[in-house]
Amino acid sequence: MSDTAKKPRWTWDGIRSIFRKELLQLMRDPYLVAFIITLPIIQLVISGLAIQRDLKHIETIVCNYDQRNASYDLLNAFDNSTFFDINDKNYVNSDQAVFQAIRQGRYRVGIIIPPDYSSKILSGSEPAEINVVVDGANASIAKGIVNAASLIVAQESKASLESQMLNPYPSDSSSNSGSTPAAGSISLVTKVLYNPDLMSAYFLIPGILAIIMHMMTILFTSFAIVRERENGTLEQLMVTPIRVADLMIGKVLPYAAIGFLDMILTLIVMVCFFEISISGNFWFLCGASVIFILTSLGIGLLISTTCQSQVQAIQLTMGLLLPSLLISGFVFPLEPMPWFIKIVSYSLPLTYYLEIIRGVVIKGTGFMELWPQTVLLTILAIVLLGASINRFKKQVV
Amino acid sequence: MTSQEWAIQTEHLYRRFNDKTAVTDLNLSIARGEIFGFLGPNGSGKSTTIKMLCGLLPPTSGTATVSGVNVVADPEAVRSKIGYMPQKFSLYEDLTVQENLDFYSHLYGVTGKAGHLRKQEVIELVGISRYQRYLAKHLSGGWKQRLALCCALVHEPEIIFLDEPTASMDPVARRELWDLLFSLASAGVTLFVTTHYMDEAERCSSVGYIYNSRLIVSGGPDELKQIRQIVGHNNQRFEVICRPLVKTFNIVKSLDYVEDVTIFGQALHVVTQQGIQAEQLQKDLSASGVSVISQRPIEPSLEDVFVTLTQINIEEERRIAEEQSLSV
Repeated sequence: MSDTAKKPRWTWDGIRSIFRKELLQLMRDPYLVAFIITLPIIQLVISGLAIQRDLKHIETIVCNYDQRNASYDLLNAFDNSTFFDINDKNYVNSDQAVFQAIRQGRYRVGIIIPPDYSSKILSGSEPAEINVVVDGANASIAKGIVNAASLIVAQESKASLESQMLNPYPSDSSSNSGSTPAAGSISLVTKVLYNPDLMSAYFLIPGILAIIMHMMTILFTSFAIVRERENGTLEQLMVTPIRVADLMIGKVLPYAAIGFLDMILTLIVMVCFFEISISGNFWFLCGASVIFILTSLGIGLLISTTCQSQVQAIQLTMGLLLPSLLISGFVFPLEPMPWFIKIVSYSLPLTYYLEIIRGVVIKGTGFMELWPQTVLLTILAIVLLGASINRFKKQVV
Repeated sequence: MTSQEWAIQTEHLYRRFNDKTAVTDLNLSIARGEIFGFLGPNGSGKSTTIKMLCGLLPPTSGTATVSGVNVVADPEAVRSKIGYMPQKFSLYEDLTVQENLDFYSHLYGVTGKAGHLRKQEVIELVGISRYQRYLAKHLSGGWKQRLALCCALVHEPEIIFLDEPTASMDPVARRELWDLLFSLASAGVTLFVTTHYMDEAERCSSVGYIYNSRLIVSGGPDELKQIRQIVGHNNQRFEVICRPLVKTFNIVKSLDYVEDVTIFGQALHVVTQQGIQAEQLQKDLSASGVSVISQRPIEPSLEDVFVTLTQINIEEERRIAEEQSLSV
């Protein structure tokens, strides 16, 4: 035993032999390499397009308590825009009916006009309120709806104010009721059901990028070792004097390189194709991404130490990934979660990387604000890689 | 012999998997330069033993010394001294013969000019030079095994473990591989070979027979044919060539002094009880209308030895089981 203790834990020669063999094998299979490189980009584009759906001609349910001309002018403005469609059948008599229809999923959006809308517009004494109710389950659509509604209301409000200036005597309006005696501003009150924070595509795409890279890197690294176990070639390797660390490092290096390349490519796709600019420091993001890829490599290697076949590796990866999507803050905010879930959340590299990539891309924050996440991510990378090398035994059972 | 002269020595080696014992109390001593044939039915513990001796599988208890290294305590130290050829082809099918060999010589630290010479040497020894540029997956079964042997030889190991090396080979390739093994053995390499073929076992310098996780017998093929259980009852073996074969088989089986009868090609191998004369058998057969073409006394073959030993063991187990059920 003392003899092995003197030997180094890893050697350049060992890593180089494995690395070179792995590269040779990858070059024999250029389709696989092309597949590995393009798959994350394709996945990002498809999921990005899926959430960036065009908002047009959304059926709108209406409850008009006012029933006077001013209210119909406003509704016409909504109907004439490309976003909203209001047909005769869309009118209901109570705001309860509007909420019910949205809850049942028959409509995505409803407009409620209070009884005093027209009188407020005409008097101009205070802003006339209208209520827009939005189904927030699909955040990007809901956000688009809210934006479109605000735009229409702002235009109408402006038109109304202008006409008030042209007609300085609103009290006379009753005499010439044939024209549109709009006066006074309109204020929009929105109520979003289900998802009041409205996570947007802008918010989701960096997260999707993180998840795709996480999943792909874990899968391809675990495959790299498990494939050898499945083919029996690992058994032959294990009777040689190769050190475990050399074997694992040499095997994952090519996949690490592919992972980094993919990371850069997907970031470029995010910036150029989805036009989401990186507000913060690009190089800090790159550095953090490298560390994040290392944690994914570590998880992939850990999976490969326990799995006997590639099918098992896929199942285990999916089994781990699905709950981590739910508790990493990708779907639901972390704050309201119970403490025992939070403990698990904050042991996942994905949680930290999501905070980093969203911080850098959306808020423009950098290392000064995100150093705790970066340090913890680095610690996780070291722990995961170390654990996988320690767990891997040069033995077969 | 001192322990240094043994290539492989095990003492009370056990391996259990959950509730199943794969190897029970294995005591083996194999001298350097021997070709040791390890025989036994599938699942009897042959591969488990090899994996323990190669340091791939820790034993549950017992000791194993391979090439002077205690494999149980220090499995890493034995790696450079042994070569291993698993039952299944375990090299990279998407690499060429040369690339596989280069990779393994690197792993064993056989590099530089000496490494190049050594690689040439094994390529010539195995005779694979004309396939050097072929992808391993395009080789036939026999050539795949030669490539595997090449890679297992490149670091000049003292001992080579071969797990059923000829399992899927045609007879010509089989013979060629064995010729190769003999030339290695004559160069002083110890070979530990598992096989199902009796003709291969007959060619080994010593053989061990493992049945149901226990090593039942070991020794030179000729020694085994003389052991007490085989010849101890003073029973005799005859080869009887006769017509019609199958009908005679049934007749012979029904004779009360015949202990065992097996069909070997055109002949029957008959085991009779002590003191039965050859003339007695001939007389009984003629009386039953069988035309005996020839009849001669013969030595037991290795197959006879193993079949007999297996039967004795099965009976022994049954007896023990019955005793246990009686005592309960």
